[in-house]
Amino acid sequence: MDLALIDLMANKGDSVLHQSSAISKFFFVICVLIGIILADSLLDFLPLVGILLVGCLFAQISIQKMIHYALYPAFFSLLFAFIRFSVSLSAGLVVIFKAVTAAMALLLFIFTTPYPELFALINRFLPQILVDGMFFTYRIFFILIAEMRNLLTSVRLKGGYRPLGLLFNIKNLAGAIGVLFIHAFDLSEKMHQVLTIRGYNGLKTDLQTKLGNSDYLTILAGLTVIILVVII
Amino acid sequence: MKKSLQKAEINDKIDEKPLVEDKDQIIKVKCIKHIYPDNTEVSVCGLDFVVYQGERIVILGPNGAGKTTLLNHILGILTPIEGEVKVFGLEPAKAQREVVKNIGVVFQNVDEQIIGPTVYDDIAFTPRNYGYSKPEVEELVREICTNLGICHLLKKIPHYLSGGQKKKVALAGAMVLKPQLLILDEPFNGLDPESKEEIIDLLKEINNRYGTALLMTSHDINYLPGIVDKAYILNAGKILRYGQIEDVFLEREFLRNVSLRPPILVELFARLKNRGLSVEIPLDIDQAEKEILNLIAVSQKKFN
Amino acid sequence: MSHIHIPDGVLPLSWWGIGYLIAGFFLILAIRKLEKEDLRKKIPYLGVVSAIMLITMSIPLGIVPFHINLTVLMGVLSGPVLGYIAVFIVNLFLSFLGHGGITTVGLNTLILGLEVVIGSLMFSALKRRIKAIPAIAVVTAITLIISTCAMLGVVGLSQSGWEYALPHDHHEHGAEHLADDHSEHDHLANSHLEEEHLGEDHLHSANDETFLGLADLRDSLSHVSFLGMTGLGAVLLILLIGIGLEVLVTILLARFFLKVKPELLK
Repeated sequence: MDLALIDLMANKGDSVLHQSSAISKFFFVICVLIGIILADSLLDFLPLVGILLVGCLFAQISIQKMIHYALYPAFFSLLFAFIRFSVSLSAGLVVIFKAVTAAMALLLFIFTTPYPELFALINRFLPQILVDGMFFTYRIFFILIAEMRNLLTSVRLKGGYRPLGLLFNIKNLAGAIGVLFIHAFDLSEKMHQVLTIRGYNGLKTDLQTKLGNSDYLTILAGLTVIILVVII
Repeated sequence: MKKSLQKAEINDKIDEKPLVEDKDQIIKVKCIKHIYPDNTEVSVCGLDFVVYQGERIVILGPNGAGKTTLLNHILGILTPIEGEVKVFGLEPAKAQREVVKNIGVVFQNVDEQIIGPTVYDDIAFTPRNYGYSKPEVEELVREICTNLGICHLLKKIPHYLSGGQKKKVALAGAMVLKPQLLILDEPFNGLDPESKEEIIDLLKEINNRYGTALLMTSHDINYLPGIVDKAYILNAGKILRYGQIEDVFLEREFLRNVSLRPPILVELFARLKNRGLSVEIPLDIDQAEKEILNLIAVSQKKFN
Repeated sequence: MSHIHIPDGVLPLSWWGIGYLIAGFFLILAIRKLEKEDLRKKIPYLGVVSAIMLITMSIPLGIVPFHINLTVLMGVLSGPVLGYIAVFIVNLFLSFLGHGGITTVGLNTLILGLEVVIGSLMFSALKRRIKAIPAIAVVTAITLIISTCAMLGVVGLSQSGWEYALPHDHHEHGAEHLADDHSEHDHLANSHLEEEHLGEDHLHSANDETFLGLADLRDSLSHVSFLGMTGLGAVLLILLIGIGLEVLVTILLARFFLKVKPELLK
């Protein structure tokens, strides 16, 4: 799970999709999700997959990378697909396609939306505490993942990692995670002090709501998906 | 400004000299004690700790001397069970909100204190919290980023900044409301030499422009003469010395006893002086250069 | 991997919709409760707890495709209220990354939330009676078994009710399915036809709904367990190994805390 990589692509990218606002992209995702809910034959996925792949091209995300990420939902949907395969092959495949296309739509969104915009958007739907909690999760994730990487490197350098030794690895990993926990709780205490000193009473950000040309394109794409699925 | 205190006076000041109540005085700490939940007792006693408006002060001391404890008391994070802490005439533990509004803090690890999703949001964090209107916030952020030369970073995401840039952002976030006091915990830690010099210049600029008092802890002793005027020395929970930095640094024996070292130039010239050479102890490289050229000139004259 | 992140599109709308409603209800309760505390302390703590869950999920354990969760341990450390909110945050993040669906965030939160809530409540009841390490081992094992059952329950029940929960499935595209099925699975297609018929009845006559629904459910459940036997067996084995590993890691971590910072487990 490469949150760090996704974050980098979202922030450094400069495609049409990167330029469109979080709102229009979110609308696109909702459209795709509605399309997925409505879709119930393999044919329905033609416009869905098509438009998502075109989206990848527009967003300059390599299809290979997208497929790599789409493997998770494909794997997890297998269990459900097994049950549906008993009905028919296509019914099983539909389940897998639903999981994969939904994940692709969200990935497309997340790959092209820098997190300040993302959180500003979420702020409209969810309570402040939750959004602030998510934001702190995000910041702390990056601080801790850097530390975890160093810890794991030093475990490896000291000969604590064997590709085949599951139990051996787990024992050493537990040590590293333990250290991480202790540091993480110290970090939370430090941030508590910082918030007190800086007078925290809820994070505020500004969400850009003006729509541009790229936004209309994104919204149009979303509507097209629904129409195509319904027609087919 | 460089009026030095008599050494005898510094040594005898313990528990003796009563503090004169002064309207310029922004911090006064008098022999405080705190007990943590696990019953560890931490105290900071010895000399009184006093800071006046616009002063530039460093707290020196080995690890575990009580520097952080002292700072935490000033910020109202700890509550003393004995002794007295007054910041702007208030008790920080009781009136923390009023006190911290007037203090900017830059912690040692900036990652722990940069909170906003973007640099702009982080600098705007404090004014937004204190209810400033949107245009006011924009104006404040614009002003401080111009003064610190970081306006080009405003749209950036904090975790992609370099260490030096993060430090500047933290500094801007601390200074945005132009507080009377800026507290810096190890401000030079982990910075390359150029970034250190940049931070020193910015701190001087802040001190000059806003009259903000600087209170810092630091182990980068060689950089200190350029940025602070006075020093407090702490060891094992006791404030042992207070004085102009050049006087404090001259006490080489004392510094060694409390696990500190004088700046390398001070050490070098003090040794030369002990050898009988007539030199003044320099605090910066320019001064040292002059002294050395002087020495050469004098010896050439003798030789001729 | 002691649980499965349910992806999008595999559950009917009624299931994930209700999942969202129930999860949302508890979420609001939890937030109300958290709001009463010092947020300047709790928000960073919430961030730390969720970030640790996300990070431990991304650590590779070697050649096996498992990852640990530590949800039970996090529940013990952070309490049920904060832990439950953290679970929601983690699931929302994961759904953005294709790891569990966005429509199923509610259900996934309920299942993972079970681990946090049951874990922390059970531990605080047990710790007075037995020592910390055995307590946490027992709590982790029992909690994970409960949550796994809950997860399998959701999977099984939702799939058996599948045909009747989505009306358009029958009306618009039923014929298409049948055409596909006839060539390959004749007997299956027949049963499908029957189900199809039942489904329509079920839609039209509200009075018979309960009766027919139950009968179908029983029928479909046996259907699932019969045909999906090997698949489910393998899944169960994987889940059991996952639970074992998770218990082991939790014990090791608890021992570490007892040495370094015992107050964490109090």
